Amino acid sequence: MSSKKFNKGRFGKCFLATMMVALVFSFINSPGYCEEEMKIGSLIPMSGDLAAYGKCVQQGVNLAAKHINEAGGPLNMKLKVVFRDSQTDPTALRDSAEKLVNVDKVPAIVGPMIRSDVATPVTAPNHVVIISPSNTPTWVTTLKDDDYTFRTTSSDAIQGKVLGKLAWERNYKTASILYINDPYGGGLAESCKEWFEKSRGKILGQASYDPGKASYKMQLKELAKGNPDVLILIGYPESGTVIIRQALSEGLFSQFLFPDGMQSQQIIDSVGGNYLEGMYGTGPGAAENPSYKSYLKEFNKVYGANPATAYSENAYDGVVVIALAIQAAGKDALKTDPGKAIRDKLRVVANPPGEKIIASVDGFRKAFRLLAEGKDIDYEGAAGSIDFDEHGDTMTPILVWKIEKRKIVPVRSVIPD
Amino acid sequence: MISYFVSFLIMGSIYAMAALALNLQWGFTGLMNFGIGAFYMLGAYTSAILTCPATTEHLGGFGLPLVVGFAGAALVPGVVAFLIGFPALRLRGGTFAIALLAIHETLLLTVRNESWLTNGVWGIRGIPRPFFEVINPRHYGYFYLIIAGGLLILAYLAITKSVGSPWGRILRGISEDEDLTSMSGKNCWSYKMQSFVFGSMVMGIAGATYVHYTGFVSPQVFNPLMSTFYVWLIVMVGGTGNNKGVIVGAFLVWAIWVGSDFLTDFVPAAVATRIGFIRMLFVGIILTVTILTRPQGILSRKRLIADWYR
Repeated sequence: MSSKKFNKGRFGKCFLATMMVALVFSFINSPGYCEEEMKIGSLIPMSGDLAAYGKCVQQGVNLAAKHINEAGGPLNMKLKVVFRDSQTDPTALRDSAEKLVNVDKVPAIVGPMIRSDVATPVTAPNHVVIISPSNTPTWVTTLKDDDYTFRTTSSDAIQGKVLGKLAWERNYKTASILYINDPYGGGLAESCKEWFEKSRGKILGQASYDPGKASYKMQLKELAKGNPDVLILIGYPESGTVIIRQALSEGLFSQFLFPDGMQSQQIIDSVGGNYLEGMYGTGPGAAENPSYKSYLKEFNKVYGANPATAYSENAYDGVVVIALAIQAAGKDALKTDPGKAIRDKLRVVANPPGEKIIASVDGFRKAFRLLAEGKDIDYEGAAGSIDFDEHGDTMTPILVWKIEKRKIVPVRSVIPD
Repeated sequence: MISYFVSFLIMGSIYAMAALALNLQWGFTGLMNFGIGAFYMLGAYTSAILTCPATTEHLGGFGLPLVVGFAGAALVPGVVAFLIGFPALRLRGGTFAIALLAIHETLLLTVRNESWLTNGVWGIRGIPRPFFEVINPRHYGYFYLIIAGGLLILAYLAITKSVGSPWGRILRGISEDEDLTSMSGKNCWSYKMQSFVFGSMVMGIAGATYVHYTGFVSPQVFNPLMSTFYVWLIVMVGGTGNNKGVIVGAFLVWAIWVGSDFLTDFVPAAVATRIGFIRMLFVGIILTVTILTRPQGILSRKRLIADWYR
């Protein structure tokens, strides 16, 4: 009867021990108040499906903190970024947001990459600003956030508009849309459809797909009914390649149009041959922008390569505008309600009017000086002009690219109106 | 700081509820339920849809009080479990587990794709949180902890009382030797069904507690790792067949799961990027150590019937 050994005392002890472990964990990094340090948070996926993106975005964030500190730091304080892992999972994302808000007590967060709507109920009531580098869905615009939610990337509505209009410009009269079944794919498909139809085009079919399947012939056959001129394929390279191959081999489609998710050399190489010559696509792009050039140069200097994925420059801009807003707010405002102070100054430092600031150490030094003198500035980011509208959205330029000699070549940069 | 600890306790309580339910099904009845996430999800979505204000994005606009939401969150998973039980309970052990896993996947795909009902992959936002307008949002966690903790205590009492009753003895008999129990003249199928439905209802309530806390739900929350296997991990570590052990396990595993993130602050930057994977390693180590040193879990079960015959 070994069971007799176990009794009520054990439970109490074990429970207490667990609670102690948890308490120690949460107290362990009690923020020692330091006059010379300004903490901000970063909530990005460092594990899970988006880990590859998270790693690159983290590089962008670190680069921005380095530049800001080399320029003297906001209010002569050292900018420190606390990273928390969102694990690409809503439950973990929410918990990490709680950590940043309640344990690290940061006034502003760069992130999350996706699902701002999960973080907002935690951050907005606690007056914490969140600036997402990459959360593109259209509904972010209308979140109930007390104006604490921003993003440094365009809404999918913008890219959809460019994509839809591009389809018409390319002389396609009819089209079918196949999109990946996630918030990105669905949102982009809707706005692309809207603008293609506004340009008098006709959508003959629309279907979603789940990634990782062996065959997409069923969807493709359905979409090919009525012989549309083009297949607008919204997805990512892995399954996208399979879809293109099957569409070609079955003779269902020969013309394609791609958004940013498919802007990858991988699709050209895996499909092979010259099947994709002359196809067009859209993507985020600040082709001819001095800030972006300076950013790329610095990124290469520090990490020895170009950014491996998109959105690192958007995260960079997020950190920079927070730092500039801290400088603009001043010490007194930061003491009472730092989150609110930063929120109120974000538009001041990022939007016109004011002296234009380029993304570089010298630029930031100048910005800090001008702000200290009480002058207005307008930050021109690496990802675009970064002008926040009343919803906290920005317009970043959209690149139109084409496939030429088996390479992706930029055609032009569209600044949406 | 304390606010974070409160949010930790709330999430721990929610997982503890689901783990208690699994403990009833697996620990006491021997039903290898690999479809916890399905019932958790049904509860979450039912309550969300019933209580949400009108919207064009998904079925809703009932705006019913939260109590109705919670009642629905118990009822719908219960009914679904009852219907699934007819074919599934003919299976035993591993095959039952695989059937339930398939059902989880089926329901998850339904939720992902039936946008008119659930808003598909976008999920449901703006789910009402009880008395959110009345309470200072910065202290809302304390209030919700009372709800979550209260429900956990209720679930604990209900399950402990039932397994201590003659009804529970039959369940344990089934888990330890189904044929023997059958031969004693008990209708095992019926008892298994009751345990299955009861457990699923508790899982549904855990789901409702989750959505009214976060104010948000999407299919991603219910991926098999975080909704099903995570709960299994809790039960394995805490102690299969021991309700208190399972509660300890829930808080302990959640502490390790989210606490490992704080390690980032103490390690060099180069290692910090890999901390996410170290967390997985930790969890693996805990499971391995538990199985090697205490296969019965932190707190062990009481094998009443088998010991009786010894």
